[in-house]
Amino acid sequence: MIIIAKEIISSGFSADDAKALLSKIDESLEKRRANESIEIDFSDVKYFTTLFFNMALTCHLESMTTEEYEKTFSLKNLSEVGQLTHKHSFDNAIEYYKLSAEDKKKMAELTEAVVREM
Amino acid sequence: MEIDFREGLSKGQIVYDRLAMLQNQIIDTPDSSINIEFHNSGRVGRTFTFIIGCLPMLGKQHQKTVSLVLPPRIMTHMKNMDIYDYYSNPTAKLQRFQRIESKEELIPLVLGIIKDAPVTMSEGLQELLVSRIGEVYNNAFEHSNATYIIAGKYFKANRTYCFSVYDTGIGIAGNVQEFLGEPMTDSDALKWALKSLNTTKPGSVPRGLGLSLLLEFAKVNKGEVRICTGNVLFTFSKEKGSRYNTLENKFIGTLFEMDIIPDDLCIYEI
Repeated sequence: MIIIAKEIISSGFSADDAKALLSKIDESLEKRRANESIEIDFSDVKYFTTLFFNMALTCHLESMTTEEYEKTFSLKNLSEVGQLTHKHSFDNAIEYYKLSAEDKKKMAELTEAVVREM
Repeated sequence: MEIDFREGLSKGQIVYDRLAMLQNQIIDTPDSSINIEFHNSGRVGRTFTFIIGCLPMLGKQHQKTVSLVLPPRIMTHMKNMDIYDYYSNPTAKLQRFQRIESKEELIPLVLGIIKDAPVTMSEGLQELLVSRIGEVYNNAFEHSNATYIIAGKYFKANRTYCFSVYDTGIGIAGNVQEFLGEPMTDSDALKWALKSLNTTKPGSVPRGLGLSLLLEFAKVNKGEVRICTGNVLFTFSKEKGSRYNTLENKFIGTLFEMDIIPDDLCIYEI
């Protein structure tokens, strides 16, 4: 299953870009055969922010393991900047979703305590 | 209300503090019309000219009309930075000072910043810088609930190229405090926001990271970042590291500035 990103977005910049791609990704996840991977071709798409990847792709790490995520999504022709930004978003999401709901709630308090010691 | 502003506008934390005081006077007065006369005849930093140029929009957000009476030196800066034209000719298409009203304007705007920057960059590095600057605008749109987002770009007296973004929203510090729901200093709130995992947008999607990536970019590329919001002025550079300076007066909204050093012909990727 292939998604041609440039048919939907010209950049991976804003929340609107992310929502547009996410809609197509979710549609593909519903339609795909079991374990079928989804290839997303980013040819001719430039400029990427972490917000974009957080909202369009790495949000799926909430319901997938990292292995499932990597098997499910194949990102093709992503620029070097896109790869770098996606990696930041991916690493961040892994840390975030590792936390239990209670831990997520506590995270703010803990972070504040750490910050006060900086 | 008539305000005579006689303070220095050259450089340093104290000027941010004085301009924050002026912002608060605009907001606090019951008068709907405020006339500010600047009497400064010495050196005036472009950064501060930019903040002064944003005052009428801050007033407008609070249903007030702010008029500025400026000495020749500040007026010259205002003209060079397109601020004068912005107010005197609302239909003009300006490059160096503009209000950002939609996300669609962002990429052309940021590309313009890169185009004018006095450094040589490969296409890949341009994409990197556009992407990192984009994090700043996303922050203003997504987190600050700002009515006005104003962008400026200019050369400073030392030929350093600077771009600025000011939004009239709740401010990063205020946003964090509201989100966490507990009292903390503005410095602590900003430190919280600058950490990778933290975000003021609750929900199932991790939304942090943008600002920390930008600091990383500045570190590797010898840039300097300044953020002024609430009672804190944050400065960051590779040489000096992170500094959180406390302002006596609460700076309204969030000012974000990044310097690009023109002598560095090579920008390194992170």
